[in-house]
Amino acid sequence: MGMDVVDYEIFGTEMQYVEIELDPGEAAVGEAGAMMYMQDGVQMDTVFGDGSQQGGFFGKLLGAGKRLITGEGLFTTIFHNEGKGKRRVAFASPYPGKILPVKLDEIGGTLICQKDAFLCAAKGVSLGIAFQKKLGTGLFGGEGFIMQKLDGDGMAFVHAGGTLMEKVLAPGETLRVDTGCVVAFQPTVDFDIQYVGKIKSAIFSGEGLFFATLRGPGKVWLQSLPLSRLANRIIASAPAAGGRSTGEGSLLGAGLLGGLLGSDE
Amino acid sequence: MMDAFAGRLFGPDLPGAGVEATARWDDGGRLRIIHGGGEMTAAEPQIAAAGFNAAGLSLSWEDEAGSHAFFVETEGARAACLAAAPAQHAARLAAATGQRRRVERSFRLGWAVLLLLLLLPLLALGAFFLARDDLAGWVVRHIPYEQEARLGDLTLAQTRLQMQLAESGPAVEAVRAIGEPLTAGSPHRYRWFVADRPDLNAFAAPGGVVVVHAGLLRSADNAEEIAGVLAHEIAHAELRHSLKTMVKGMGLRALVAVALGDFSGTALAEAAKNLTELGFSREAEREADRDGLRRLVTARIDPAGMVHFFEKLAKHQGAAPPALLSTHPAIEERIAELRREVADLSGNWLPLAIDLTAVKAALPTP
Repeated sequence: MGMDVVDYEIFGTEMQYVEIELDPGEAAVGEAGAMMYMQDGVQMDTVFGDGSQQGGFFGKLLGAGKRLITGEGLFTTIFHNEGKGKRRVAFASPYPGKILPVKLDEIGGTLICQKDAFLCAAKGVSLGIAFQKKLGTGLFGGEGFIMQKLDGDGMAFVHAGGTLMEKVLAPGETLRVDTGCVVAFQPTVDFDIQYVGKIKSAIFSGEGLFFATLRGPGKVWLQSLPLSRLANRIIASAPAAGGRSTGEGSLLGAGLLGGLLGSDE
Repeated sequence: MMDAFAGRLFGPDLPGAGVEATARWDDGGRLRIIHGGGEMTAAEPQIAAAGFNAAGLSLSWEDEAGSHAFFVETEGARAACLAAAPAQHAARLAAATGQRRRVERSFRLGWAVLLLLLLLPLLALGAFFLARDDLAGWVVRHIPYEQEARLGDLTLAQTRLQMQLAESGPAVEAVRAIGEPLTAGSPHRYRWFVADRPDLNAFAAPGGVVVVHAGLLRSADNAEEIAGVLAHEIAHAELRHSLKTMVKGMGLRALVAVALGDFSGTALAEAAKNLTELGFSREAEREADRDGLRRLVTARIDPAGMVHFFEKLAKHQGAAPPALLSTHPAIEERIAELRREVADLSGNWLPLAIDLTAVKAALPTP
């Protein structure tokens, strides 16, 4: 199965988008709603499933059903270049963070990533689900029981919140990670959980009862700011949701006076 | 030369994501790995299930340069590795396979439990529907008769608000005289009332409260007809039908609320409840017919009166459906069944010594 080779460029620093260059006849698969712009000659085609299934109606139905489980749409959009020359299409990341380009053939053809992380890929990359089968990890690992699996040998782009950290784990090397910070890893990496160890830490450290542990060999990618954490902070300080706008740092503003008076209404 | 199997090699001098490689077990039980950049030998590799979901097989070893691992991912390669593995590694390979199976098993078990939890309310609902009569019977058996009598008092108080109930007088005495022999051996203390209502109706509240409408007495041609209706109503009371209906209704409402996660008591629950009441009633009516007939025979009252009166009710149904039959669509069927059973009976029935004309005269004028 010939993958389309795509050239790409990532723009921006903290709120990025990726621009993909398509040769005539080439195509890219995008997450529904992620497309930012496309040039003349790029045709948009919405397909049931992820566009990689060849197995008739039921194959497509299965593919689409799996996508539904990962919390994505039943349909994906394929952008193919019907023009004469090179054309560009761009996909933007939906929240502050970094876009991670992965060449799937360099890591063995498969990438496991958190659900919702997928942004776009070369056509031919199949988007599947990978069930987290270790019950403890599914319950307490921060990523749930359903993860996304990208298969193929082309480029795939996933996005992460905050700053992205890429780490190579040597065989047997273990990294303890706060739950929710795991973005993606090679399937050779063992994703497990570990009890924080002390009851005092479990209750007061704010890290929860468990760490996620990643054991090598292989590459792992971590995000510094899971979207849920950002969302919690925003909700906590949103006046509409009952939060308070403290901590702004201005003496005259709501920071000190508002804080002293205890109310900003 | 033994079979080679494909995998991914990780090591200190290799790219972090590993490189494709093939390996085979040599005659000395050592692992020989060939990759693009050369060849390696592992004398005593550590064997473990590893990777995402413990689905892969990791063969790792240490040397002066650092730690290395050869990772078998695909099913085919795994099988080739296991088949060709030397005997000294067999135990650890089996342990790794077992570890992987345990993860799979616990995952499947987890799903089964989850599915069961999700389906439990629905299963309970289904079981309840199938066994509702038995369940209600079981619950009702545990309700003492005193409680039932108290419930009867409540119903009576409610009824008094809606209609004038006579507790004494020739009509009540006549009803009592006809009814008492039919209640032989009852744990209830029967109370008899005549309601000042013109329609053809009679009903039994829980705990032995029997109310006969004046209209029914007026339209009866003989005391045996009244006895037939009373036998039917007493059978309802003795079989504790109203209690069973109530228990079923309450149980179903509670279950529907649990199944739908809705505790406000919605229209759906009401509809479901009415449905069971209807389904219950038809069966209960038939049961009451049979039991009533048995009571008549035991008291040696001519059961033909019962059939006659039911026919009268059925004829009446055309104009204004009597409440007694409102939930009984199969009245003809019931009459036919009664007639069949009565035809088989014979005996010297004792005539009822009731002066029906005097009773009718004593009724308040409509």
